[in-house]
Amino acid sequence: MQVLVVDDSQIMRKIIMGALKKLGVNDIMEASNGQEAIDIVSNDNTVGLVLMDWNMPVMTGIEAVRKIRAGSIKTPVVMVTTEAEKEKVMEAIKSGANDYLIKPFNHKDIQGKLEKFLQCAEK
Amino acid sequence: MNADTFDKLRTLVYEKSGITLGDNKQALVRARIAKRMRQLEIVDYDEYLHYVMKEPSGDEIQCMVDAISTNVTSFYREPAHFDFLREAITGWIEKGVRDLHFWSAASSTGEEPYTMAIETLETIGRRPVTAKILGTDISRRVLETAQRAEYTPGQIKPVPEHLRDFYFERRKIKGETRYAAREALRAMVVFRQFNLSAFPYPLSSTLDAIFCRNVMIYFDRIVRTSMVHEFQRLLKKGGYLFVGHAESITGLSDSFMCIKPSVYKRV
Repeated sequence: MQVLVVDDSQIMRKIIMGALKKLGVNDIMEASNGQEAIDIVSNDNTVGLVLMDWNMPVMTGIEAVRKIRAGSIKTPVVMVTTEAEKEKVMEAIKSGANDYLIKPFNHKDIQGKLEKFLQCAEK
Repeated sequence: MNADTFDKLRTLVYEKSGITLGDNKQALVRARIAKRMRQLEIVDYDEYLHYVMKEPSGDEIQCMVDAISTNVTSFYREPAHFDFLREAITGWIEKGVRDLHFWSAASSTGEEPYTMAIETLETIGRRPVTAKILGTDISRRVLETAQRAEYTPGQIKPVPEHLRDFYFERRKIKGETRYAAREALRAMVVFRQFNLSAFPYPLSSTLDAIFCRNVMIYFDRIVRTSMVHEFQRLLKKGGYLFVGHAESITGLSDSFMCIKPSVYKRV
């Protein structure tokens, strides 16, 4: 599965990509804001999962999710957030996100999300 | 426990948690591990070490770190820090900040982050400011207690009475008096398991204050230096790092200015 990692922090992208590689995912793309993410998923239908940061310059993650769904793109999106509040998570889900991952996370957390969406993709 | 077993054990603890165990800690480690061995019905330290290394899930290593890690904490420990936090929050609000993010890096059983939460709520008052506190610890055991947020009368004693009555509910649990944190506190604090010696930290650079008090003493200089560099990355400019009164980060980073003993400003 190809995974798109969207985060304005290069260090965060490195951490997430490192975790993905340890889990055997080597097909990884990067984007540093929501607009770049939209550009990628709009033009590349091989992306199987998007891990999307919440707060980013240019375009936030939640805005990007709204636009991705408005474009009828169904690629699963997992919001990566520090905001554990239920209302924020609900806002993301209502906007079209499929799930969320709360920072700080560990390998098991990422593995859980990967397995969930890998199973969905195989069905 | 012979010296060779102790060496192997402390190497394992260092690799998994970054915690440095000096020779003088041998008796303490022996006592704490012995308790865990009784639970597992293992009688020999070498056998236990073998068990830890072979146990496939890695959960036993976590149990061992839980047993060894020190969890001394209390509400309003080193109270001057909380006076300083209130001043800092007031300053941020006056500058127009409306979202505050704090991290209690070794939150143990929750007394520190809940004290931060009480002081934050008291300072914010009715102003339209939101605040979130992340509480982390390497020990799952203490995090479970933190999430339960029920404290004995002895534990709650440092909390001034009017704040205790406002932020905690007095309950009888199995015949014993407990003070349970009310929703206002619980909603502000989120707990996660976290290894402070695993770099880089999976966190973004949005923090206004980090409390990492009486923690760095358990790590060697290499780990301490990396920790301070991560704190530097994660704190906003003008944010504060609070360390224990017996600790100092002098010489570990140029990006912090000592404001008063054990309080550093990210510059």
